[in-house]
Amino acid sequence: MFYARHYAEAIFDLGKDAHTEEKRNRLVKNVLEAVASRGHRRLLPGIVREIEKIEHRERQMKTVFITAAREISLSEGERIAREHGIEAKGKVVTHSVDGSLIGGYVIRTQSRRVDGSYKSALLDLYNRMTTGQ
Amino acid sequence: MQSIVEKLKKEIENFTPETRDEKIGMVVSVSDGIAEIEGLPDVLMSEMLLFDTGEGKTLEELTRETDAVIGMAQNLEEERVRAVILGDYGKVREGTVVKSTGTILSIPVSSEMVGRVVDPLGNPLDGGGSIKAKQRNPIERKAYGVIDRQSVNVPLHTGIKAIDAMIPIGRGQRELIIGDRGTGKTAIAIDAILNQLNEKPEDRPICIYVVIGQKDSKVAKLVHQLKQKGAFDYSIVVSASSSASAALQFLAPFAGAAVGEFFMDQGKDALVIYDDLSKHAVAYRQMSLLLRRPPGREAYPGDIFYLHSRLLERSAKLSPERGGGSLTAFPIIETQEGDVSAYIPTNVISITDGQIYLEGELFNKGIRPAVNVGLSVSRVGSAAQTKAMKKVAGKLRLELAQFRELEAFVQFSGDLDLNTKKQIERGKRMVEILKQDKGMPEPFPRQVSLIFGAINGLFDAVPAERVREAGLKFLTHIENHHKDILEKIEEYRDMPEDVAKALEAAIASFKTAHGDLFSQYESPR
Repeated sequence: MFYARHYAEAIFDLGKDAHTEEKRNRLVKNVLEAVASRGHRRLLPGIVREIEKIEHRERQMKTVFITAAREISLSEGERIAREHGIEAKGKVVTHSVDGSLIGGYVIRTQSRRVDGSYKSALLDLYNRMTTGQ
Repeated sequence: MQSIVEKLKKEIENFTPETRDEKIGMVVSVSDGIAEIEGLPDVLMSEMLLFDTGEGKTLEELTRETDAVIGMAQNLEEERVRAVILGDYGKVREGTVVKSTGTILSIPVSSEMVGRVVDPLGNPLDGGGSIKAKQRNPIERKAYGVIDRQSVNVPLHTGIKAIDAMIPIGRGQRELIIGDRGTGKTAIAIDAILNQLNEKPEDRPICIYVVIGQKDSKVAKLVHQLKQKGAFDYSIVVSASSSASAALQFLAPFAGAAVGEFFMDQGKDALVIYDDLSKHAVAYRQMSLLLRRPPGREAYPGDIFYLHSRLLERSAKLSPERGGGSLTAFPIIETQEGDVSAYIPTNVISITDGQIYLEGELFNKGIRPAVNVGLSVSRVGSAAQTKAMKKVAGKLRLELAQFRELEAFVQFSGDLDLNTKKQIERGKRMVEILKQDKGMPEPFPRQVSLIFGAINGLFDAVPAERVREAGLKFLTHIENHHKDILEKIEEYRDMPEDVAKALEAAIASFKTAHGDLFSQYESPR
C-alpha cells in the first residue's frame, strides 16, 4: 500500500504530460518495465486503485458541490456560490437535492464549506436549548 | 416551568438561520484511530477537529446523537494532515468532512469536577450527570516562566513517616515514585491523598488522580476507597484506563494538568498523580508509530523526553503576585526488574525534583513502604520541611544509611564491638518505627512525636519485633494523656524547648506505664 501509493503519485505526475496516445503507451510500457525490474509486479492492482483515488481527489479539488433542499438551476447555484466568494468559473459545478436539509443550501469545495441549511441552524438551536449554552 | 417556556419562546422568536462558513478537510483514509485528511488550510498543531458524521442524516437522527467525534491534528504535512481520532472512530469513513475549529484541544474545567470521575476530554464517567463549566483550559499550555514562580516553601505531607521525615515534599514540587510492579507505588499516592484529611480544609490541596492504562477494576477500587474514607470530596479522577484508546491515554496526564492549573490559577493548591508515565510513554509510542513518525531508541519517538518534560514543567509554586497557588506532581514510573537506568525511568528521573525509589526486595522482607532511603532523594523539599520534623529527623537518614551498610557487613563478621552492635540494634528499631500499613497515613504531629521518641532511645530497650506495637502504644499514650503536645506541634510547626521537655516527660511516663514492653529485652552493653 505504501509503495503502491508512491508509484501511483509518480505515474500520475508523469501522466499529466502524456497528452498523445503514443506518449501514454510509452508511459505504460515504461511503468510495467520499471515495476517488473524492481520485483513489484504484484503491486499493480494496488497501484491502479491508488491512481483512481488520486484522480478522484483531483476531481474533488476542481469541483464545487452545491446541495440544496429543493431543485435549483445551475446558474442559481453558481450565483449563490459567487455570493459567498466561491468562484465556480473553470471548475466543475455539481448540484444535488437533499431533502434532509429542510431548507437552504450547502456549498462545499475541497477546503471550505458554506452551510446555510435550516437543518444545521435548527440543530444549533436545539443544542443551545438542551445544553443551556 | 413558566420560565422555561418563556426562555424557549424567546429563543425561537430570536432564531435567525445563520450561514456558517467553515474551513474543512476530507478524510482520505482511516486506520487504527488515525485519520489522514486532505484540505484543512491553516490548521494548527494540536488543533481540535470535528468529524462531521451527520452528513446525509435527518435532523431527528442528529438530535439523537449525543457524542460528537472529535480529533486532534498531529502531523501537519505538505499535502495532508494526520489526526488522532478521540472517540468512536468506527463512525469516521473515507470522505467524512472534517471541520477546523481554530482552537487548540481544550477541556472544560470547573470546581464542579471535584468528587467526579471524568475522561481526558472532561466527560463524566461516573453517571453523576453533566458537569457545568464556564471555562475551558487547553490541553497543551506553556508552563509558567521564572518570574511567575517562587521556590517551594510549603510542605505537602504525605502521612508516610519514611517520606515526610527523610524525603520531604513541598507544594509545587515534582516527586517521582518509581519501582517495580507490586511494590506499593500507587499505595503511596493514595495515602498522600488520604492524608490531606489531616490538613485543615483551607490548606487541603485538590487531589487529581490521573489513571493511564490501568485496569478499570483498579480505578473502581480506588474511587471506592477514597469515597469510603471521605477523601473524594477534594479529589478528581481523570481516567483513561487500559480500555481507552492510545490517544486518550496520551491525553490523560495533560488533561489532569489542565484541571490542576485551573485550581492553581485561583491561588489554590493542587496535587496531581500521574499513574503511570511508563504506560503513557507506551501509548505515545503506539500513537507515534501509527502516525508514521520515525522511531528512536526502543521505538519511542524522538520527542519522548520533551513530552514528559513539558508535562512536568507545568507543576509550579506561583509567586504571590500570581496568587500563590501550586501544582504538585507525583509522576509514577514502573521499572522492570528494578532497572532504573532504562530509557523512560532515566528521562523522568532527570526531569523531576527527586524520586522515591521502592524496592521489591525490601517489600518482600516486609519493610513497607519499601522505600530505599539510599536511592531516594528530594532535591527541593527540605526547604519546605517543617522545623519540627527537621529537628527530629535530621539524623534519621544518616543513621539508617549507616545501619544498611553495617547490616551487610554483619553477614560476614559475627564479632562486633559494642558501638556497632548498638548502631545495628538502633537501626533495626528505626526500620520498625518507619513501617506503616497502607491506607493509614499518620498526621504530622504524631510522626514528629514518634520519631522524637525513637531518636531519643525510647525503643532501644524494646525487642525489635515489639517496636511497632510499642510505637502505637506510645502514640495512644500521647493522644490520651498529652494531647496538648500534639496541638502545640501542629500550631508551632516547630519543636521549641518546652515541647521537647514535655515530650521527654511523656516518654518517661510511658515507660512507667508500660514497663512490660521494656523488661523482656536487654539492650547491648
